[in-house]
Amino acid sequence: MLNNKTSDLKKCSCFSRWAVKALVLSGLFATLSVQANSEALNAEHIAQRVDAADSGWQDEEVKAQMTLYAADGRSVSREIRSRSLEVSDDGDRSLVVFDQPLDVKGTVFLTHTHDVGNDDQWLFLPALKRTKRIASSNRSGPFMGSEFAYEDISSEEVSRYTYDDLRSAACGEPFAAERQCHIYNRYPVDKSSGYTRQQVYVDQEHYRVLKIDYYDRKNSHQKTLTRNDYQKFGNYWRAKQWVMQNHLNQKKTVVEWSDWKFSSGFQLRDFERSALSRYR
Amino acid sequence: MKVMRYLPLLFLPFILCLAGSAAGQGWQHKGKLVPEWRYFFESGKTPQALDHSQVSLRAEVEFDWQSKNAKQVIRFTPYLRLDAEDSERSHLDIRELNVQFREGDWQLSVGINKLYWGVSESRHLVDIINQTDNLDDIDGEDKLGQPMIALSYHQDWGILEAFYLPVFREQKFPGPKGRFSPNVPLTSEAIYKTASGKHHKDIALRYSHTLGDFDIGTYWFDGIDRQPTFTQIPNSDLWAPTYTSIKQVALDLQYTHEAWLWKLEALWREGQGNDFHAFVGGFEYTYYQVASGRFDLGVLIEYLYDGRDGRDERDSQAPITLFQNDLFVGMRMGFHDTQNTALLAGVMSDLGGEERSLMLEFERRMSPRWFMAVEGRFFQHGRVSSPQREFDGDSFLTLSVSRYF
Repeated sequence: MLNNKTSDLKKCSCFSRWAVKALVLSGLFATLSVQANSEALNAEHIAQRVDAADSGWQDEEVKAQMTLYAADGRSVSREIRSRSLEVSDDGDRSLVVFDQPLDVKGTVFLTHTHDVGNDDQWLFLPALKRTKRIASSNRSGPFMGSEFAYEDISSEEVSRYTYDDLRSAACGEPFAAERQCHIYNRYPVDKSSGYTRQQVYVDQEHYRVLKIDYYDRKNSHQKTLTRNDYQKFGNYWRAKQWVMQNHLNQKKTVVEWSDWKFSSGFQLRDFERSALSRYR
Repeated sequence: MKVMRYLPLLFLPFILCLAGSAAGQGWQHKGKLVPEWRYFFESGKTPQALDHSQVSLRAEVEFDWQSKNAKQVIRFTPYLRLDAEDSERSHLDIRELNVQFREGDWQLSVGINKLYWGVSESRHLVDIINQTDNLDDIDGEDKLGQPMIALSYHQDWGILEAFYLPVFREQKFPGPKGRFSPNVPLTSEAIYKTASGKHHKDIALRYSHTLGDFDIGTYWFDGIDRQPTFTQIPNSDLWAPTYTSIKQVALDLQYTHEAWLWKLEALWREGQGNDFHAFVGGFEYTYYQVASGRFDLGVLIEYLYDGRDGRDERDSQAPITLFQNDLFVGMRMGFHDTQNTALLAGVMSDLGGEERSLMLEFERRMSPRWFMAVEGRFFQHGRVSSPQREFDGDSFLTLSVSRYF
């Protein structure tokens, strides 16, 4: 089509020849951007596969023991319990109950994630029996002084990122050399995110996230999250250990997950601010 | 000391707990023991009042039991303070002793309970259910347990709650050796200006809901005002705490958007002379990850208005308030360290006078079981002329170390 048109246009003036060049060039760009788009679509498709592979659990309870390592190797530990509810037409809801250190024991943190826009968050302070709505724009702040930012542990909705640069390659350290991953970039849509981009490593067989490289606002490679020891509970894969290594300050946080319970029959109402005072 | 009589009560939870764990049920407990040292910068106003230093110890344990389906909950929280100087400040209280049942959209709670209503930081204006524990602190955040029957009904359009409060709890005052004590001698018998005396049954109805960025709560209260006025007994030097019945409608509202929290608490009250209204309104804005992510910095500004009559109780039927036309400016620093270090500082200024008070709070975790806090209150210029309170000269610093178990 384009060729036919250009042959017709060859007889035209100089100006039209420029026009033709422009047309050809813009056609070229169009094809290129379609290619880029399809790659983005592919990367997003993988993200959707990851999301789909981890859907249908309804609700989930799990314990976590978090160990925070300073650069010199000294460590402190925290214990939390988390309870999440899958919400089909919006983001998931989650409750985090603090068990250790003891001065924050009984504090409950409630999040309603949304597909679009800011999350809603409440904090229950047991000493005053006070429930406080808190600002959720602090997505990049550290969770309990650890190397995990709030956004690293919040529900991973597909619509919260744009995607590109899908490729297939070795998963790399610390995984076996022959292990192949889908690797793609994702870019947080939310401007309050602490990252410009994240490189996600997904295993090709089960669509589980094995590794994420985090690039901060200055585009330095700030952190790497590795999810180890995957185990299958019913239809769902869960990593028993998450390691977040900060490359800039040499600190590290290790989370050991345990005691999973799925599909206990929790309701939306169990994840509302009024429910916070009865958790323990 | 009279509290010694109650000491055996403290063992009750341990017995309950043992019985519970023996039966393999879901008992849990948590507690803390807090030695506290308070230092007053000026010596006491009366010869009996303690000089500078006040040492005390407080203990709180919370026991709770939950049925397997979490529909029934039992909670028991005894509280004890022992004060080395002021025996009146030594006291035992049951903060909680209640049973909760949940079925479908309904929840019923029977027993002694503690709850909190409100959003603002500088004054807890609309919080009314629990009596303030004056003996512990003057910030109005420590509360006595309140016996109640509470029924709540949850729907998508919000939560309706009804409260029946069969027993009224009087405010307690420090003794002559203590600080913040009334500067007139008080009788132990309070006067009740209510239809049925101290046996008046309080009632409250509350509606609360979350609508997107708005959290809203409103209630109607018919009962005895928690704060007393003072009446001089004829032909005597003694004064009696005097409780009046009031009707009150109140609102608490918060709008949360990005790093902004906009807050409003307001109330309308009748029963104490002329009807009046009062409010606290303002915002908290947080700058996140300041100084290369070392801490968050929050700025708080709240304006306080209270329209009750008179600045002197002698010409007012409403309890005196310090917050008739005041501005609170504060800041909060939350460090991102593993010790959870936090600093809160604020100034409350009377826009119509010279009164000013400064508050300072610093806290830091020392280990998984130890936590320390420093708290200061500094008062400038004669606060109010009230037989109850005159904080001028009672500026202090408190150091406390909590041991959790």
